[in-house]
Amino acid sequence: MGKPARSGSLREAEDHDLAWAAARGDMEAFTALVRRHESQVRAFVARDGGREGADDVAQETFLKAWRMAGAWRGEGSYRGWLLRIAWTTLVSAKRRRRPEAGPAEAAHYDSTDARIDAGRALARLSEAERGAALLCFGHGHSHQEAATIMGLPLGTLKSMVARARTKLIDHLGETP
Amino acid sequence: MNETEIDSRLRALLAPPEEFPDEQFTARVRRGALAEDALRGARRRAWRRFGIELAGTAAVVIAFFALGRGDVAAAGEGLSLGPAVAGFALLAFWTLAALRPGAAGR
Repeated sequence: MGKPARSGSLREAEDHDLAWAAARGDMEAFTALVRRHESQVRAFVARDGGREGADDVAQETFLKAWRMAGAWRGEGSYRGWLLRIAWTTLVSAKRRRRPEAGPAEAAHYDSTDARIDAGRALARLSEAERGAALLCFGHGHSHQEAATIMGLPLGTLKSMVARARTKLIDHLGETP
Repeated sequence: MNETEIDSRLRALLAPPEEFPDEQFTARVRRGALAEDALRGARRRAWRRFGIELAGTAAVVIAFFALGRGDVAAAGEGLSLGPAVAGFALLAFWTLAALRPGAAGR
């Protein structure tokens, strides 16, 4: 947590080059970006929103990214920009879906016991707490980056992470 | 467990699973993006065609309106633009607009 999202790394520099090319309408560059980030975006969407429809939300995320490619300004990481789109798409999709779909199904995304346990633990969190915890603990984003992705004030985000952490620890304490 | 161990455990638990790139998903997104591009292009061409046809229709209506008025001829000293000339000019505009290369998505 609090770790910068590999700023300045070669991979991020390549992402920026590809994103600028995609902004000029380069489909090959955009395809390369999809290839680089699809597993992270799909994992985030599936763990936060449940397996059902996760790929559809992830696909919609990338299509929005293509539509909005011209709006890319090179501020922050491309992955952060994508996750912000994914988060807003996910929240909209959840509003359209039935309310019980989501956290409870997150447990089925992964097959190992640890992952199932993580799914159960995440199911206890509110939607925003889950998103904050996944971004900060799971994806290694800083509080500031997570706040930007979720469109929240930094203080609110920090409170959410702290609450999520407490709830997760409680759950972990209950499980062997 | 101390704080560091707890955070490490949370990070390990919530880390996204290691997955190989899914080429099928990538191909699906690419097809979707290409389809959106094609749809956007078709929509743009349709609107352009609609605009040209609207302008052409307006030109024809104006032409017939001008033709219907017998006293439209300009009273200038040089060339006199009678209603028939005005009508032909507007019809010529319509033809040019409709036949302009690429204007109608051809």
